[in-house]
Amino acid sequence: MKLLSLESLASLWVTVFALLAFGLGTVLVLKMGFTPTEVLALPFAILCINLLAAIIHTPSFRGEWALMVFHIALLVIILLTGLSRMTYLKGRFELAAGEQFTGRLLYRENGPWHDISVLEQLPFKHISIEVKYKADGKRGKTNNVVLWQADSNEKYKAVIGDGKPLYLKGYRILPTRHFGFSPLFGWQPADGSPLSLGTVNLPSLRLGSGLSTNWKIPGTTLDILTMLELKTPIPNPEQKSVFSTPVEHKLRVSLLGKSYVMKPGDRLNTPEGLLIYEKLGTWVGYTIFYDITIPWLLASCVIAVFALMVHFLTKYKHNPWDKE
Amino acid sequence: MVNMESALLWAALCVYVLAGSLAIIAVVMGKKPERLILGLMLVGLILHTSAIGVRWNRLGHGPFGTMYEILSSNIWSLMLALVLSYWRIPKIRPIAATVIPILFIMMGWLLLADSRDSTLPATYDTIWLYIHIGFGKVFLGATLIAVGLSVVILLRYSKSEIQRFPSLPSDKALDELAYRFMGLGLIFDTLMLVAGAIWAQDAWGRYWSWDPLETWSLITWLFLALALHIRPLLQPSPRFGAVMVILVFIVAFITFFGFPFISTSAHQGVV
Repeated sequence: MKLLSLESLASLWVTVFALLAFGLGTVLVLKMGFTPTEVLALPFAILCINLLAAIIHTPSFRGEWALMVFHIALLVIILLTGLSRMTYLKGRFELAAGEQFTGRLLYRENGPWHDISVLEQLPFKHISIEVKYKADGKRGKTNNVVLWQADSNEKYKAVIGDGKPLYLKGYRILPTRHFGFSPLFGWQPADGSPLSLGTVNLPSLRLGSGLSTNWKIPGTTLDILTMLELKTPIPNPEQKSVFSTPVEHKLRVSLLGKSYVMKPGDRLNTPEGLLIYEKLGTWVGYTIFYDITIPWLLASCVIAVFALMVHFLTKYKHNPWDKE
Repeated sequence: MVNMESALLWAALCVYVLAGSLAIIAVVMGKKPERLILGLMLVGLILHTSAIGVRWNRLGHGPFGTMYEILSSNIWSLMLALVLSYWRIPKIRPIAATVIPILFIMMGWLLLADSRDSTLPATYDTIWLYIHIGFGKVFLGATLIAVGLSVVILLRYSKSEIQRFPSLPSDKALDELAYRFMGLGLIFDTLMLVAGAIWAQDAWGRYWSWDPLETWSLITWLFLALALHIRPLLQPSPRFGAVMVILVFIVAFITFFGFPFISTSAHQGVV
């Protein structure tokens, strides 16, 4: 009876059913927006049981070691994918020039076994960003300077950018295509509380020329519209340009129904306090990713493909059509 | 340079059409001008390679950006797959008559596509682009030859007084060969997915993001795996096997050319 059930679990019908369920699951993810883990957990589990039963039971596997290795590698890939879903982290955050990463993410997706508190201890600071544009406005190289601290407490500077991430405690940190200008303001409340500093991240350059944003000074009722006017546009469609600071600009601030043009160092008196425009800085968006299974997944894939190649090469030594 | 590129491409397409027409006429008339067909396909390939080379040199990047470039480079690689199988497996040479009409459709599409210059994003500046695309081209090339064999099997089943493709081996042998090409396709499709995942991990910080092209590539892989598993399970007739091969090719074709056609970039939203 046991053998019979193992045989039925190892059946190719189960494989076909699991592959169809897997295909249906991927369509549901694509078209209906289902979470992949939810939809694909069952087909993956069925495939896993089917593969395990086939490896133990199928007699043809014993004589064909390459096919056996291929299926074991597939089983390992499925198990690693499951482990990956439990432990991964994917997120996005923004940092202004000189800002330390505090672990706060704008978007986060993670497996239940991932300890989020580790993010708060990532010793990483964004220093500056420079993006070169060609004369046709096409984005060129991104040079993003960051400061990070090793376990030995030594500090290192690194330039990261397109395809060049920063690896820190297993996390992969990479600047995105989203970056922009961020004016730095000082705020001195009228009640004598200490001066505080804060940046306002203007929209990403990638979104076009609308470099303005509405914001509110924290702890006040003041709504502010901040608009940046650059002397020459970035990217410039007529000549090469560079996104970096300093840059010639005017900062227009609309507050309490009036509009003001501010230069670095300018101050604006309001009934609730003093607004100081300190300087124009930059911000950059980052992605952060963690998945301990990647090298093992890659190794398993390489073994699977190699085993499949060996299997086909040994199986197809004869050419039946040559005899006809 | 643009004129030279255009002239070379047109010349290549004309030679391909000539070779394809000869292959079809040869099958219908029962003739065997095989050396001439192989020679013409080779000349076409040389001209096409030159056209792609001139454009590559002018733009500073390979044919990977627009639909025009994707079509051109795939016609080139599929023709190369046909030439290699034509050269290495002489017994199946008449399948050129069933394969080339598929390339004719792609050539017509190429001529209608927007040939304006393209730019590639900075994330395309990686060796993984070439590895990923190279594996993909071998996969599609292997599947195309399997389709050529399958079309022969299906044509033989159609009601007609004429004995079709008499010089080709039996349906069983053709089915076996088609299955082998599909096996080769599975290997290279898997390699394409793995190389793509490595590139995505490098460029965008995630190896899989369920974008439409990625998802359809996975569906193609699953469909191919399904077709290969059905064979030992049901031991289908060559005709059933041929239909499966053609269905896999259709899914792969939609993945390769349907989604880049709908979206503005190969991987929508990530560049």
